[in-house]
Amino acid sequence: MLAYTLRRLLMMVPTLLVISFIIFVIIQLPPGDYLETYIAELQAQGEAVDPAKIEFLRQQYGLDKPFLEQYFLWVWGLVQGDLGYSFEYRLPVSDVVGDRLLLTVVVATASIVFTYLVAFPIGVYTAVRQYSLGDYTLSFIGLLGLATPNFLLGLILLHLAYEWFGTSIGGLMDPEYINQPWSLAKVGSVLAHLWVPVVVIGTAGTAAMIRRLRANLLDELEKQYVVTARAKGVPPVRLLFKYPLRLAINPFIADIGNLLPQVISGAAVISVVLDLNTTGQMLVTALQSQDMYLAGSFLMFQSMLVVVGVYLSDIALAALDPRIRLTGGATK
Amino acid sequence: MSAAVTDFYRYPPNRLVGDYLRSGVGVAFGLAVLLAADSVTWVMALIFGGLALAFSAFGLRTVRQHLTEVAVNDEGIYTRSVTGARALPWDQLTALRLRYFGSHRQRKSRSGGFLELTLQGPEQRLKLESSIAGFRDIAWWSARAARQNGLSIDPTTAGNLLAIGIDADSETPRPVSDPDFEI
Repeated sequence: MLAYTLRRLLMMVPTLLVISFIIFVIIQLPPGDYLETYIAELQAQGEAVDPAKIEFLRQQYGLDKPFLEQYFLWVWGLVQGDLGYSFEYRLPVSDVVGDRLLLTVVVATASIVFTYLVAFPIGVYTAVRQYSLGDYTLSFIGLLGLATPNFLLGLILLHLAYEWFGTSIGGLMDPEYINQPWSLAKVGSVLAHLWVPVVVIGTAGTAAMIRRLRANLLDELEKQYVVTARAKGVPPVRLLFKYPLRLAINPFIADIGNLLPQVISGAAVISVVLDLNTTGQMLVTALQSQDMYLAGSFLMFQSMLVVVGVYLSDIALAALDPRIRLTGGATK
Repeated sequence: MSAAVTDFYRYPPNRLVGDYLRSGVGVAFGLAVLLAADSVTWVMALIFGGLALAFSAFGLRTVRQHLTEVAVNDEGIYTRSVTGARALPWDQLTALRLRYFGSHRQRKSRSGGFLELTLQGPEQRLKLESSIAGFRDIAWWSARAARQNGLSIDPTTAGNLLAIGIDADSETPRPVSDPDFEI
C-alpha cells in the first residue's frame, strides 16, 4: 500500500506541472495582455494614455519577458508559496485573495460531506427497500433536487434563512466580520451562513449519487453469494455491510475526483448568486480583465484540489476494493 | 533450505527501472526546491522535505527489492536480501492475501497497477510484488500451501488468484512454462 501511495503521489507532480502550463497558455490565449485592456479602458473613459508609463508598467509586471520565462517565474513562485502579483488590485495575489481560498475549501468540503451524508443512507435504503413507499418518496425528492436550478434553490433558501433564522442575506458571514481576524464569533457566523450554499451545491450531486448507489447495490444484492449467505442465516445487516455494500460503493469512492471539479465550478455560479466570498466571483473578474497571475493562481488552486481529490479516491479505492479485473486487457 | 528441487527468482532490473526513476525524480525534485528557494518556510520544508524523505524511503525499498532473491520449493519459501534471510515453511503459513493496487483509470482500462502477495507466518510476514520473476509460480505454491493448511482465503484473494490462473479451491497445474505475471 505504501509503495502504491508513493507511486501515485509522484504522478501528481508532473500532472500539476502540465496543468500549470495549460492554464498559463489558456490565460495568455486572448489577444493582448492586461495593460492593453487597461489602455482600452482609459481610452473609453476619455483619459490620456502615457506610453512611457505603460512601458514602465510592462517592464515592472514582467509582461515584456518571453512567454516561457514568464511561465517559469510564475511556477517557481508558486512552488515557493508566492502566488504572484495582481495587476488590477496592485497587490500581491495572496493579499487580494485573503480568506477566499480557505472559504472555497470549506464550502467545497462541506458540500461533498453533505452530498455523501444524504446520498449514502438514502441510496442504501432505497435499494434495500426497493419499490416501497419510502423508496418512491426519497427517489422523488432526490429527483426534485436534481431538477431544481441551483440559483433558484439558493434564492429560496436565502429568503427562508432570513425569515426563519434572521440570517443576513448573502455572503458567508455577517458583514461586521468581513476583513476581520478569525475569532470564535466569526467561525460561528460562517457556520450559520454555510448551510445555504452547502445545501444548494450539494443537492445537485446528491440525486445522481443516490441513483448510482441504488443501482449498484441492487445488482450486488441479486448475486448468488448474497442468496447463499441469506440461506445460511447470515444476519441481513451484517451481510449487507460485509460485502454487497462494500462493493457497491466503489463508484461512490471513485466519484470524489469527479465531484470536486463539479462542486467548485458549481460554486462559481452559486457564489455570484449568493454573494459568497469564495474564489468564484473573483476568478470570473480576473479572467475578464486578463489579470493573469490572479486568475492563474485560482485555477491552479482548484486544479490542485481536483488532483488531490483523485489521489485520495484512488487510495481509498485501493484500500476498499483490491480486486483485479483482467478480462480483455491484460497480458501475462 | 533442503535439497528439494528449488526455483530461484529475483526482481528483474528492467522492471525496477520505473521505481528507481520515480524515487530519483521525487528526491531530486524535493531537494532542488529546498536548495534553490530564496527562503525556506516551514510549510515548504514540510511539503518538499517530506516528499524527499518519502521518496528516499521508496528508493531504499527498491534497492532492497533489487537485491532480494526468493527461493521456493515444496517445503517453503525463502528470501535473502540486504536486510537478512528469512524462511517460511509452507506448513507454518497462517494467512495468504493477494491484493491489487491500481488507479481508477488503470482499473477501467484493465491494464497497469500491480499485485501484492502477503504471506503470514507465526513470526514473520513476507510481501512480494507481481513485478518479481516467477510471481505466478510463487502464488501457486502459496495457494497450494493455504489449501493444505486448511486456511480460509478471503473472496478478494480467491478472485485475484483466479484472475492469474490459479484456483484456490482445487489443484491447478503448476505454471512452470509461464511463471511470470505482468499486468
